[in-house]
Amino acid sequence: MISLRFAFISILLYSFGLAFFKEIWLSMLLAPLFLALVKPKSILPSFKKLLFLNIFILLVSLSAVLSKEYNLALLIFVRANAILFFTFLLFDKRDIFEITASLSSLGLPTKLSTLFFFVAKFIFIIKNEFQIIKKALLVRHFKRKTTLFTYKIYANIVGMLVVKCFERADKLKKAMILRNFGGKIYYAGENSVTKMDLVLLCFVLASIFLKIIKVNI
Amino acid sequence: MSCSLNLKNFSYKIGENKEIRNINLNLSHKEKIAIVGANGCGKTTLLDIIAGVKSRSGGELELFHQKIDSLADYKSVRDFIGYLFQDSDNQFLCPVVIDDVAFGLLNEGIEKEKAYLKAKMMLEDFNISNLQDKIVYNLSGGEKKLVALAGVLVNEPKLMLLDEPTNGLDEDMQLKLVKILQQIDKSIIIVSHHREFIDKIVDKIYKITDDGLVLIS
Repeated sequence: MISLRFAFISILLYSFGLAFFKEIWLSMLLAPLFLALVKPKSILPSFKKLLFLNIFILLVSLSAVLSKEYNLALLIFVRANAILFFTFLLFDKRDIFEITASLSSLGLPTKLSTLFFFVAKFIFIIKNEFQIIKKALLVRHFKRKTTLFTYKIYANIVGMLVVKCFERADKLKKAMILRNFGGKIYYAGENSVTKMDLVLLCFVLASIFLKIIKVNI
Repeated sequence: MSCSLNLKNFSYKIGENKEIRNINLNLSHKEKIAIVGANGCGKTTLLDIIAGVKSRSGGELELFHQKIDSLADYKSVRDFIGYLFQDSDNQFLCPVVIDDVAFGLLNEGIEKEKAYLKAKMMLEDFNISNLQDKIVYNLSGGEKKLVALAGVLVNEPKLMLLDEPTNGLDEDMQLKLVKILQQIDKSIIIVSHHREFIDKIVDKIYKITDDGLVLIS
């Protein structure tokens, strides 16, 4: 198991390393390939997520193609996919709250990591509320049409999402006051360095430095 | 006797690992039953599957003599199913009481005047006409439950699925709900922990166990 601390360090090194070069090289795929070998069950879910995000990546690449910057288009496409695939493999099956709470173990200011935690919590809440509304629409047989009634219901849904989020925020505030929240989220996750962490770091460094020292793979 | 629901060797998953198997149930027309079981045993999930919100993992499901093989098959029977949420807040799709009760009718394409008239009559039947212009979120728990029930009944479903209907209701409100449900001449499945309440309404009580659905009373 790769520790979250090392996962963050790896992703930062890897994405910055790739971002500073203006060309594609084969060894840049070493780190994602290593992770794919270590976590074979995460490959398919990661690819599915990647497939969806490629709608946006392709749009950006397409804009480069339209201005006849073919190499740039390819670079954007490969680089973005490599970084995202590496990220998805790293964080697959890791809980979003665990990920955000573990930011404090990286030495990030407490307030910043707490802020990230609550951002994640609210994304989770909004997603949950949206799922509930979707269920209500389904069981109440909502039929989408191009009528004023349909648009009114859509407007209601957006309004209700806002109201529910405010309500949840109020409840959270109440819980914070009642539990004497001091502005810090505690995380009792792993702090030790495993062999796997070090091997991953080696692969990440190899992905970048094989290019710097001009080893052609 | 005509049959509203038939489950044969039915199975479904709760979460990723747990699977409930051997569910056999035959619900006759206008029959009222209750399903009990421990927390997390899959009562609400079973209702969600019957309502066509979630998929089953195996077995046969027939609704109103129509075989349901996939969620797409619900298109023709969805109008006959009414679902009362455990938390009424999650069921509302309009902020004002009368709009929410009329939602199902307007959604069916019924004329505005007729829809609102029927919704008002439904509120009168429940003795809650005084709430018609109120905001749903400002109502008490009991009032919300009655408004939600009115919103379901106004569509005249043949099968009603009630998820923990007494949740958060005081004794007076529970009695009111008992009287309403006793008068309803439809097939009803109630999922509840409240034995005293369900005893007054249903003909049979089933329990979800590791061996499947077992008739206990």
